[in-house]
Amino acid sequence: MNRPLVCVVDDDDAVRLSIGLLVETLGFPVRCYRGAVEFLDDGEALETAHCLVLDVRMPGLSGLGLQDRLGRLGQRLPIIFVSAHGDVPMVARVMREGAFDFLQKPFNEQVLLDRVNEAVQVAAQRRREGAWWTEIQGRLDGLTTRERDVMDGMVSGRLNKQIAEDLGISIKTVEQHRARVMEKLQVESLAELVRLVIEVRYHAQ
Amino acid sequence: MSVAGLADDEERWRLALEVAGEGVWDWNLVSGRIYRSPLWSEMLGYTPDESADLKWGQLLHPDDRDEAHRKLADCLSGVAPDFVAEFRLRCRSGEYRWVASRARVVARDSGGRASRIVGVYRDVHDAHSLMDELQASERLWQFALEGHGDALWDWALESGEINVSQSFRAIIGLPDDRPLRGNDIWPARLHPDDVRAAVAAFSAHLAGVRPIAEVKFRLRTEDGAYRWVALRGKVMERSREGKPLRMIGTVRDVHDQHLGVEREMRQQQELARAARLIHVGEMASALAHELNQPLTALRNFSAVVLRRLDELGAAGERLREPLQLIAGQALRAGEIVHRVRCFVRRDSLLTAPIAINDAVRDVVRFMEFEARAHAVQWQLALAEPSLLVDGDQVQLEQVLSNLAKNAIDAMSEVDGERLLHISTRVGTDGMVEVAVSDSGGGLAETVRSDPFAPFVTTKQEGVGLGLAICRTIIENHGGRMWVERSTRQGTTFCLSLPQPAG
Repeated sequence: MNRPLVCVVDDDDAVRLSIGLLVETLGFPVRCYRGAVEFLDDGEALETAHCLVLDVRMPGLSGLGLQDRLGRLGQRLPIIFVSAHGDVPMVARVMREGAFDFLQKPFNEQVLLDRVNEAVQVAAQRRREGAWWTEIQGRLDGLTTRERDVMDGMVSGRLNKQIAEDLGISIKTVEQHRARVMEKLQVESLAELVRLVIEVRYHAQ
Repeated sequence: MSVAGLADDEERWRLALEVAGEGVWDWNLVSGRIYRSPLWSEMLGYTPDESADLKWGQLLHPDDRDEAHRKLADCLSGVAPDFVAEFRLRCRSGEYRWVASRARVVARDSGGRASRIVGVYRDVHDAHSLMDELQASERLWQFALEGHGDALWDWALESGEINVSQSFRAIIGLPDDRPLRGNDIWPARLHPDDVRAAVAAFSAHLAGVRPIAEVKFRLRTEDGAYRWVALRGKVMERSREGKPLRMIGTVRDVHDQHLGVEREMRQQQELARAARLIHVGEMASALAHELNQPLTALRNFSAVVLRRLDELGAAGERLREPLQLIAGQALRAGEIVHRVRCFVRRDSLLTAPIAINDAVRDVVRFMEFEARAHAVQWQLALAEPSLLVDGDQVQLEQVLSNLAKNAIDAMSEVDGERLLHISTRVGTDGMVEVAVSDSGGGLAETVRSDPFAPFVTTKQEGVGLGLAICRTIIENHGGRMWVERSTRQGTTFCLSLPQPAG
């Protein structure tokens, strides 16, 4: 997998460039934008970015506006706000909206770099989890209706004979469905299957 | 000199006088014959034949008869050297005309009795009626002025005598009609602290620098208290050399009004001081932002170089310390800016639940004059009952009046309708939104990309902080400010404010 992308949005040319160069020293690819709208226009970046370093006050769509927009798009990209104008109400507001951090300009660059690293890890973790759930969901979706019925019986702790009676099919057929479920969900044991299904249901909630 | 020569000479004089507009009369008291030049009959409308038989005494206006006869008698008897009189004579039409005459006895008999008197006369009717009118209009003015609360004074500077109206005496509390001198009033009754201003106002006028002497001062009344009065005066007569002879003017009791104005001025000064404090704070805040940006870049760039130093190996080591110092100083500068900002910022906003409609209406009232001066019409679309916001009323009104002022300015050049529209509503996020729209020509190119940027302005006398300050104030309230629309049909500024909790 490619190294995670970090994006920087700041209308001040020097600040933008300096943050970009700084983040590059971490070894991450960096893309810089002079405004929130330019960032939104970069579909690829929206898809792959692991961290957004965002100025609060910019002409046009502000940093706060962009955070709001991303939230509505369901984008859970970690955002580190940087502002030369920080005050308590503003910090409270962006943090309430789920910002990863808020740094007052000028900042100790080590703090920024540490936070970028953490944000990238969090984003990678979220992506892995997201990918995992997508994978499991895909396997579950591969089950037929009858296989899913049998799986539900297994997870509820019912015996093959009881499942056969519940569904009005032969025990032999239940056994065949059972083997198919284990195979499709790539689990080795009944215990593993139960844990997986419970996790899925928990996650779905 | 021959008799004929004498007659010629007389004729020349007579003609000369007639050209100058003066008639001549020559009365022989012995024969009783009287000669009058033709101007006389012309003036009164009689034919020369008719006029020959007319007697002066019969033509005199009854009201003027006694005085004219007395003066003539004094002249004839030698008590007065000349006969000088103005009187009305009956014209042929029955009307009376004012005539001025001057005469001297030119011959007396051995007993000293006058035998011949010669005089000139002049039609002064127009001048006289003008005087009558003037006197009438003066009375009218006096009446009008007194009715308006203005007391009158008329000061003869030479003699020092001053005539004041009853209402003037009433202000001071002078009980009677005893004659006054200018000195009795000014400077005698002036408050010592006001003498300088009053003297300055009078002398500026007397010297011709100011068209009117106009000054407010405290006047001591009879009971020893001081009352504020407003005086206006003007020199009405000057001597040929330009020396002021007579000054006339008014005095008005403005005591209560003055105290009210003083109170209002104190309030205004306090407001202005508060506004200045806010201004200084926002200036520092704006400056802090502008400085923090390059400081951030400076710190970051030096940090980047420090991190890349390892790539140079030993050669780079000598750069490490100075680079660290640069990076350190950038942060230090940032801290200084931060401290200055904290020092001037009013960290404690005085927020309270405010009815936004009241704030808007207050601003409409402040700006009423400005709007009217630019033919701007207000349009209010306020949610009723008023929405409440959590805010500092003074600061919010400052923001709204700034927006209104900008809107009015934006429309001062447009030919069409000038509408200043203010509306309120609840936004999708539950915040109260206020929109201020104008029908001006839209934002100028120079500020369109970021109208809130500090130190950028389209106004000749602006410093470019108005909107920057507005935005800071709104953000301090936990709200936002933005431009909703800016086209050639107008501009809409919006701001959002939190509703009071609970």
